[in-house]
Amino acid sequence: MRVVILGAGGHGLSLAYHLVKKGINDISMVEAKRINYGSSGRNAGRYRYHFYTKENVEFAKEGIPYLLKLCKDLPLNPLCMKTGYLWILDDEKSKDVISRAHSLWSSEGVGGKFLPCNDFDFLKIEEECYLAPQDGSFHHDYLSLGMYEAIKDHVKVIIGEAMRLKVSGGKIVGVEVNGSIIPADVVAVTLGAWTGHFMKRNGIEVPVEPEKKEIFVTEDLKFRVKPLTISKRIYFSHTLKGEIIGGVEDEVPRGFGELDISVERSLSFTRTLRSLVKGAEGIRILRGWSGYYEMTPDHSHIMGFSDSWPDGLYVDAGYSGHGMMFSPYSGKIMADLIADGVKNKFTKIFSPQRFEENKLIDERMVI
Amino acid sequence: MEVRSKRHGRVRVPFDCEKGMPHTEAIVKGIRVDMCGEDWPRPKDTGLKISGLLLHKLKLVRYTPWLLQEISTRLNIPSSYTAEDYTLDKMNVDTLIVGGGTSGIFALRRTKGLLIANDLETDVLLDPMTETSDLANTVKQTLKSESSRILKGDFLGKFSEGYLLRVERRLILVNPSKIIFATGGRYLPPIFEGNDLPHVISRRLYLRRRKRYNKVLVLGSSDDAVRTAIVAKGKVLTPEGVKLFSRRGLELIEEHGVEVEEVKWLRVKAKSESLEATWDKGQGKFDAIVFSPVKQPRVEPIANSGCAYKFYPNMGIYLPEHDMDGYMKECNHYVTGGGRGIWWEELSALSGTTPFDPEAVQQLKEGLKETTLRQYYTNDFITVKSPYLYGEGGYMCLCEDVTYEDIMEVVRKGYVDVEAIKRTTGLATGMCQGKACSYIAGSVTRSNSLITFRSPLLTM
Repeated sequence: MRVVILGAGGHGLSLAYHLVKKGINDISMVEAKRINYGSSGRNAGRYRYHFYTKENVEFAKEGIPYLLKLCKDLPLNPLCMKTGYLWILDDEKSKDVISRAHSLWSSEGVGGKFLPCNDFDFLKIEEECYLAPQDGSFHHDYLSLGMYEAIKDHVKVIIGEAMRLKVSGGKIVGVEVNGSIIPADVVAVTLGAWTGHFMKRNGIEVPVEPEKKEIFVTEDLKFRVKPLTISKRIYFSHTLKGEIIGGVEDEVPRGFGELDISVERSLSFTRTLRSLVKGAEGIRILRGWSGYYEMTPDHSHIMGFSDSWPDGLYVDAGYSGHGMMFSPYSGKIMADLIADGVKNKFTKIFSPQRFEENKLIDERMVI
Repeated sequence: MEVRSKRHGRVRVPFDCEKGMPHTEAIVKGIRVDMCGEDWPRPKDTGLKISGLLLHKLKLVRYTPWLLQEISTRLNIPSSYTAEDYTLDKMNVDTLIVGGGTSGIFALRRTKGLLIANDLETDVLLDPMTETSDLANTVKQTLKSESSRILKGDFLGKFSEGYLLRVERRLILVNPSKIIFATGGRYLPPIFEGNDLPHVISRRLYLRRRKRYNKVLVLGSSDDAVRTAIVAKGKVLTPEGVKLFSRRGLELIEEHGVEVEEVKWLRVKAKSESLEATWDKGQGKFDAIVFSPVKQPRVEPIANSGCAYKFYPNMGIYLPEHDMDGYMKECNHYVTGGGRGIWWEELSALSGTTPFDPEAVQQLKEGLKETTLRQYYTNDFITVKSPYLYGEGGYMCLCEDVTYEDIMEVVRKGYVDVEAIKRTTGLATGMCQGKACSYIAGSVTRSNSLITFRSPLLTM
């Protein structure tokens, strides 16, 4: 079986990793820039069980333990650590959302607890908080490069942009890259925020759109912000090397654009952080960068294939802001599907056909 | 004052006092202290060199995640920062000159634009060989007469709203139609065991502090190493086979009888309060080891502004892609002086005028013919050994304590470009954000590109 994977980010690498484990030996990865260039190299590296919908919570209940298992096996250490997520319930909306979610989470066995924010030494505010202790952090580069390191001698990486799918008799036979056709029996599209764009170019509607987001890291401060802390304005957490990493929570119009950062958000992040964290009153940012969330209409991912597509075409993308944590597990599901024809229940739930069939998931917790 | 490095607890002081360079700022009880205004300890060889790569190799760490947090809380980093805040406003600027060195000052004389620089003490005013020259006088006079068009502050880089400047606690957004990058170049520490010891310093820092040092050893393959040796009355060590001297440099060597010795390896130790250097053919005790391996342009503000750069293998440096007049077509801006690799101040002054004066272009072209920059313009590329390589030890990244050996270990695994090295070792992710280490790592591994230099270019 000749497999061509489009996009060498977390999801593409994970698929390749699991296919190699199954003994598939003709795997090519097509990458436009460099390994991990897109959102896989730009995210904040956190994992959680806590989503708004049952479907995503249940996916996380399989996916997160799988991530933690992989953390122990890879040649690089992704530094997985349980830190918790902490919501500051500083407005009615967040109180409402969390209260509703709390009953779902409790019934799913991942309930957290309400507690005063000043139970946390690092916080300077007198609000109510909600702690989800099961969640945590990891190092995104070590995760994806760890998967790459494990398989790099078994896959071919082609630098170039995938243009057209080649289809014959209703079946995928190849994909055009750098002006020539790479023959393939299977093409798996793991292009993250670029997925919708690529599919559209090939006449297939897959509703994944980019939404630009900015992330900032600060100067070093002694480790104190253990949980990923979410207020109505910003989210932030400590990295193990001492920086505080985080971003601004706001609505941004969808679409591709310049991957820069804005003065306004940089200042907004710094000012809010300074007002919330003890000792950080004068902390500065070291750098900021931007990347894309990969948004779908129901903020949930798309995995598998559609009956209306050519045979041999698969997609795994559209994870909004939570793709990295699911990359190990999704790659496994996709590899089972591609290599063995095993349909995991999640390939039905998160199928690309759900948009036509109007079976949307309605995930609202995008962080 | 003594500061200890983040991970290894090594005693460190700045190797150069340029704002934003490693260890130039210490946080003491929440207050930012300029290390360059402090007294520095004598060299001390302390601390514990534990490779960061052990995190990956020691499987035990993965079963004891609490250990990670424990290690993190023991890092040598600040506990607090005293409150501060900025104001933000806008300013209309048509031509912006970034940098206050010789070429920036000469460019300022040709425009009605504005110049921003955080350091107006250019080398020409500090070097006893040039401080009384006509050129130095012109620079001094211009600094005085044009002071209303000179802002003392920082260029923080490109943002979605425009380019950001900082003057004290004021942030200023500008949208100039033309930027002249007179950002100059810098001398970065070469690779050898002991390269992070206090008083292993750059030529620039030496020129500022030279009265404190008697016995000096000079490292470098550039004309500026020769000039440093003349001022310091010391000898020059250059890595075997790496000589980047221009005709004028060679004449100076001859004229002043400067001793230039090619070495295979060098090691430096802290011994009884001084630096003991040993190399394959000799040894000695010194008060300071002063390096000027090769002048590396400050590419980061230029790349950050959307201009292209490339590796110039003939000198082991990165140069902005530019024409003879300094024009950079990728971004429609100009680069002058040290920013395009020039080190002689007459040529630097000339390059400050080429964006405005076609006649100066020919003159500059003639002048550059006598230097190792000439093949950049003729595309005659030959690869030389990196001018930074004096041995196989020491530190590559001071802020995050990443050693040369760590870098070589990931390079052997195939992570050869600087971006990949950064993402596997943590190099260039610390306080200096790669302003020092990324160039050294790139030169040694001959990487085609560096890292993405992100805004803000200095902490904000």
